[in-house]
Amino acid sequence: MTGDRPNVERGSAPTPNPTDRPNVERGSAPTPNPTDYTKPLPEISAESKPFWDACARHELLDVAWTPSSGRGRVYTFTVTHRTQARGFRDDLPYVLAWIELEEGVQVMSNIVGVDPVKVAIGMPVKVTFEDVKDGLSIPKFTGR
Amino acid sequence: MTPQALIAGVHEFPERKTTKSVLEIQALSARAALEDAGLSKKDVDGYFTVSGNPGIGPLPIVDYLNLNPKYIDGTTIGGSSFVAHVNHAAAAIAQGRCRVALITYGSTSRSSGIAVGTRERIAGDYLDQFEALYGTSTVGLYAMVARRHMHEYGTTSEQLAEIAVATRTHASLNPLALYREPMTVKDVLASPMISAPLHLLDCCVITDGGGALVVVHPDLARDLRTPPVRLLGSAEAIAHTSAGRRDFLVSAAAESGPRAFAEAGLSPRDVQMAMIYDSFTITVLVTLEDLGFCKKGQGGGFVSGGRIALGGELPINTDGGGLSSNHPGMRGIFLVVEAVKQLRGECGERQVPNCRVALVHGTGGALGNRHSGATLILGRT
Repeated sequence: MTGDRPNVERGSAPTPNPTDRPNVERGSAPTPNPTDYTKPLPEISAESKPFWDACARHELLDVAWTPSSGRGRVYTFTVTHRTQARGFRDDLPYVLAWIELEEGVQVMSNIVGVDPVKVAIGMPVKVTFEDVKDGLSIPKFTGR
Repeated sequence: MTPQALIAGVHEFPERKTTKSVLEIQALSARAALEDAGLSKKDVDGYFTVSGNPGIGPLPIVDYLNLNPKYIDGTTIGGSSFVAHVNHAAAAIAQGRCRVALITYGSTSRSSGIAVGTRERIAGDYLDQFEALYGTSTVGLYAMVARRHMHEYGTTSEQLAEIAVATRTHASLNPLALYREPMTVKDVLASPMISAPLHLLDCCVITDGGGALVVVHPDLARDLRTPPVRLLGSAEAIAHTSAGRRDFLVSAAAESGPRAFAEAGLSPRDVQMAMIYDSFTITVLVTLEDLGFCKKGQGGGFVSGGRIALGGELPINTDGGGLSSNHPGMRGIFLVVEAVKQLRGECGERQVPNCRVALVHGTGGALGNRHSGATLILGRT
């Protein structure tokens, strides 16, 4: 599980030594990396690469809400045949699933508008919004 | 550091459907476990139980039992909680915070009509807004792991059923088990589908129940009524959605198991029997892989051919498990009770011969979103 996370210890990011190098302002031109740097370096994963790429531009990225394409594939699913979940009995059998979005993030949802027997792991899906009341829409997924 | 603690007394409340209260179940269990240890209520100076439902927090129980603990712990991490409590009790004892730790559990899930597996799964937390909207149930969350395991490794419903069948065979040897009629793989596959690919007989039973454990400082060994069981290693972990990037086929056991084995200086080869939390058949399969009894993906073959039944290479859940004997919602305490009885050689018809080392692994929460794992390695004295 920890293998899924970026293998970067808090505080282990290389920081310039203030006695060797002047502090650089955000957005100012990068200075060349010293080649004799012996402290730990980050093991950059796909997930953390954007962060380190931004650091190379002397920009610090924060976690932020960002739009997703809404496209992905079924990571896993179950066809529910018995439930006591409020309001779901009328939907039986319904599909509960983890979707892997194109951006690589997993989200839980229902697969709707597809015969449950046709749902399969790896199936391409796209988001569809169920407008349940004024100002409230629930993201669900359907075939694409 | 090797944990310095002994499990001196155990008790599993014998009824599976009761008119007694949650408090009374725990009082009767506490008394029986203390008697088993040869200790009395006035010796208890540490108290451990879960908060929340099912089961209530430490305060009313301490009041009801008229205890005066110096150390109190209400850690609640799902069905594995009581396994974790043993770990916590050992730490408290090692630090000199207490010498006689009492752990209790009581629940009336069955008589209260609580559908533990299929009811809507709402934790009442921030995450509900992203999950509870979709008809999530406990069984559904485990079923998604089963489906993915089948996809990745070719695991079959027949192999999952083998787990339920072996466990039922063990239940047939336990007079207290809820279901004792032998059954076959065909019976499991013919039982109603609850949340595909999990059938009714892939799911644990719903019972009333409870129990108690007494964990003590090694100095008390001479004062005990029965030879105690030694805690050789213990560890716990939580596996969660990992910010949206999770391999759902790897459970918390992959972290807690190796740490507990390392502490004990032992490996899976040294274990004669294991008590593996069996909320569902898939729980057992994934846990056995993650604890290192077989390689990841080979669980289906491992559980087949009688290997996990009495007489096999690694008998598991010899009491009949949650699948056939007892599961009021949080089964962890029974895992410890049965492992201790096996190590003491008290299991009669279902005794594992020459049982010297037993493993306990509790899973709490759901494999399919977030869960805790707690592992104990126990040894005969």
